[in-house]
Amino acid sequence: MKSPINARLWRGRSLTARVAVSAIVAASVVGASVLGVSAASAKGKSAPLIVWIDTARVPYEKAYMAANPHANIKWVLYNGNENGTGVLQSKFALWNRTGWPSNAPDVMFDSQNYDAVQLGSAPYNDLLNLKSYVPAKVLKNFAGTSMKAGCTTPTGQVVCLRNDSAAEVLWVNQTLWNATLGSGTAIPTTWSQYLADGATLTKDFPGKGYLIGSVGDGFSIDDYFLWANECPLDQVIGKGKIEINPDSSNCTTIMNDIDQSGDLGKSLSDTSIFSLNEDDVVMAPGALWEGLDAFATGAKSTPPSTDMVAYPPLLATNGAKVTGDLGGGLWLVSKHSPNPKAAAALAQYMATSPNIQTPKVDAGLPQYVPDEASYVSSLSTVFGNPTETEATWKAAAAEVWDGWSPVPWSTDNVWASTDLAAITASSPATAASQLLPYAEALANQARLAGYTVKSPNSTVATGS
Amino acid sequence: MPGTTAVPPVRYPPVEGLRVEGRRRDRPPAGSSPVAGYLFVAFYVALLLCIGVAPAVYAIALALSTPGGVGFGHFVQTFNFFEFAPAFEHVFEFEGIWLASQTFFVVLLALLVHTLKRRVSSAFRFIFYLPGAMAGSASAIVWLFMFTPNTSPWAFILHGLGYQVLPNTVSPGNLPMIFAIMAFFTGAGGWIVIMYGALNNIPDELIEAAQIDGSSPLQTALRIKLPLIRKWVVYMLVLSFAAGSQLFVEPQILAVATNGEVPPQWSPNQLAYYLAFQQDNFNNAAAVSVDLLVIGLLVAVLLVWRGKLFSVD
Repeated sequence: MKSPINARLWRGRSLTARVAVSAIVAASVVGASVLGVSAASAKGKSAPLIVWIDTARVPYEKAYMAANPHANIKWVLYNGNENGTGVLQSKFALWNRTGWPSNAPDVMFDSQNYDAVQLGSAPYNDLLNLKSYVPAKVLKNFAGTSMKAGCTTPTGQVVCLRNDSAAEVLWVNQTLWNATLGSGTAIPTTWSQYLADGATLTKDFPGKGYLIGSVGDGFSIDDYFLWANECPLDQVIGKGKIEINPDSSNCTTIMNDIDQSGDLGKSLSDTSIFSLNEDDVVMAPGALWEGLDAFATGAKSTPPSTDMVAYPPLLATNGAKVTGDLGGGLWLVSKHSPNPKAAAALAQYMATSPNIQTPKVDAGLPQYVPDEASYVSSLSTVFGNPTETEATWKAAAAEVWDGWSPVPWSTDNVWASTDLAAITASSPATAASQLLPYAEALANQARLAGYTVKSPNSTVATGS
Repeated sequence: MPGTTAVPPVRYPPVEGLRVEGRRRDRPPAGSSPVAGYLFVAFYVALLLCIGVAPAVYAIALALSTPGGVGFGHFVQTFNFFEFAPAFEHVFEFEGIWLASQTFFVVLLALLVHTLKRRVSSAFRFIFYLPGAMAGSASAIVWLFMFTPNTSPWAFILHGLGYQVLPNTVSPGNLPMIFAIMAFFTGAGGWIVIMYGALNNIPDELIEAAQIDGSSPLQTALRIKLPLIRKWVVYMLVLSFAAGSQLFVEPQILAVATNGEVPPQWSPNQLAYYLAFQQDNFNNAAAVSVDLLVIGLLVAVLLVWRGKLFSVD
């Protein structure tokens, strides 16, 4: 059987025309391969440092170039590996097979907390161990356990520098709080008080749709509720070993509390925190940067941030003073950089210099403690109750629970693909009923990534 | 041979069940040289070897090379991944919905359009083809709007089904149907045009003879036209099955757009991509790709054999 396309295209054309068409096709194939070869030529000594940043880091680039106008740096924009898109993973995997090209990045900004440890461990092993390049006293000055939790591989290499803290606090719209629950009502300090306030808002203001947060995102339940309550669903306990225990009371208590409050789908919105009407949000657990992002100034339907006050993170159900973490960036240095010293120095500058780590170029609180004081005090006119907000920020940055380990899969995405549909359905499933499916899906991802799963729950442990 | 053209004398294209008088294709048309034919085929063969056969051979070699020599270790390992079986289940469910609806509607619409006057039918073919102008990624974005209850023009249907927010629509159970809807509208229009072309290949004499014998339009469509385009339907199934089993772009884009509601290993092709580019394990990825190749080949051979695709008469 003859293809109709071929017949129509070729029939009735002269031989010359056919040869011409074929020659064009052949020439473009050859041309493309020649270009590919010339791009891979060797890197000269005066070659610029290549730095990959995302669009939100462009102000960093401007600030750096203003302070060092003669720096020989080539800035390249990429998506910052956002939402686990795995740009670095795929490029590195290819380069590890084909050789690292001269235009590979020396320094990278990465918005995914868990990337550094994956890219710095086998089979990748592509990140520079910064222990020998960044002074120990600088490394010691990053807040709390942030370096241990996000930047240290199970074999003890330091493979990144933390950019900003993304610790979670309790954001309260003080104006709306006073108008609804009343200025005399105490701000909640525990999860059960917080959930009870949500029930009160639903009961006392029917039809108003006042909110105390959202469960409409992949990150809401696992980062706000589970991580912040020391729920062990993502705890690496050794090289290639992870513990996943959905039966722990650190997980079940908070989930049962959510169910008993009746807040799901009511004061806990099923719409993403970034899509709902921020004017209805009385309070919400959220990362530090959300104060300048979700609750930004000026825009319609967002409260001015002078209404917003950051209160300390809610105490975990087990009484621990810990919080979760959402976002925050990392600075990575390639092990394949021809100039590792300069590359590491640049990463250190970006993560620690007061020229960079100021509110003028950055939305987040620096994780580098010496920069925090001047950063926080410069915010005094931005938020309501600056004293409370400043104290909260400084404290929370050091309180992130380090038992939610960086792993080569996105726990947010696993929640999104496993449980989000059920919890946001018009008659939502109970939060407690989602713990086991979530843990099983996490365990399957762990096994796919070559981890051994330890769990007292046999379904999670065996995956059947 | 400048100056000479290779236009064969006008004649009816060969159609199954019909004998065309005179010489068939056993000899090249007078005046043309076999060298030119080989030359043109050579270009295609060269490209096929470079970008079709060589990567497949490389994949098979990668999949079979284990630390201990040649073996099926990577096949066994990937087969035992929890994500392996669901990925194939997802794709087969998707293909079941998609291929059944595509075959039914494409044949039905092509037959209907073929009964219309030429000018009216070309307008319809154009309309059918329009959604196909948006290929994979673009259609995924457009459908994302259609499936989001707060933005969709079909919000009342989505609300009627109990979907209030996007996560409700793209719940795990709905995904095969969602991708089938996307694939149907992307591909059906093009196939209707091709089926219409096949129907045009049926000689007018044959249709007229049937009508003189008292065949109704419905009988003509089902008893005369349909059997004569059967090979084209099989051809559509072979190509569509292979394309569908390699489903990748749509779930990948939907995963990004919904911040992960579609798992990164939803389809076997995604699983292979994930293994290669998120875990740096090209051998396991190659094993999954070879599985896909084998399944695609088996189905193609079965359809070609049962559908007598390559038989001349």
